[in-house]
Amino acid sequence: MSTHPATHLLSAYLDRELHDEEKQVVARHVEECSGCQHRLDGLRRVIDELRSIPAAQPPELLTRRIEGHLARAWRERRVQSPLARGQGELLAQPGLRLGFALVISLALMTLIFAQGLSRRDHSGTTLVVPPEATVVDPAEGQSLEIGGRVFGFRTGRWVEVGLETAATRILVTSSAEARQLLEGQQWLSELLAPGRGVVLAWEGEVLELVPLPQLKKSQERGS
Amino acid sequence: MASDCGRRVADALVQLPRCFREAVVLRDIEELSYDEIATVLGVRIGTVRSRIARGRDRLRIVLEASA
Repeated sequence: MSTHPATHLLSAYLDRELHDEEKQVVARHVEECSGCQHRLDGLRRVIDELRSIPAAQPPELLTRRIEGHLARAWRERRVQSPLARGQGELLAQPGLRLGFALVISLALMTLIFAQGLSRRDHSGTTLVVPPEATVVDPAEGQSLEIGGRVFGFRTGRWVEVGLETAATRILVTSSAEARQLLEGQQWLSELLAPGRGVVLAWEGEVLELVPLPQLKKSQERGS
Repeated sequence: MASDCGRRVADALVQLPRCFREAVVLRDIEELSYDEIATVLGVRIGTVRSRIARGRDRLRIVLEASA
């Protein structure tokens, strides 16, 4: 019997994404190896479960905003303007269509995850801060000044100095485009649970939104 | 129930490292080809193949442990 194929070969075999020669080698091996048949069954179960994730419909406003954002990005890159061909043909462009698929699918994933939250804290506000504020593992006493706003990390919580309203969390965006997408999308901000993130990307450019730990009103504020 | 399965795998999916989650979502939910995923993510097809496989394998381990 030939050597057991690597997992990436079995995975691509299920997807029919192997070259002919690779496909024949894997098929011959699997036919006579019960262990690898079991591995294939395990991967099939994962794929079946992924396909059972319920679909969610994004709000029309979000769809329109993403289309507009992609159209602007296209124009700014000085590629032939898709708007000249009409909005209906916009998503016919391969790069835009794929990017749109990714953006929408990941937004939907956020919706799905959020629907499972048994309880949400609406007692505070969400602070959206610019990319230069990316702080994944803040140190006690650390301060940040972002766009004229000052944030301090105190007793394991972020507080905005001088802010009267309690903050539930800070979202740190890694790109201006992601921030632009979030503007006016309060519903999306609210759906991002602490410790969970969503990634928006297109044409090889990844825009990441990273929610930091949930904040509660600091009792030390003002002390 | 199908919805319970969906919920379980969605919870597992969100725990994956970003690079694996992107590849798995694009393949198994959006049903893009490896070529298309490589275009979207700006990586080579070999990388796509590897990320999908590793993402699925991690999901398999999590799902089998929770079964």
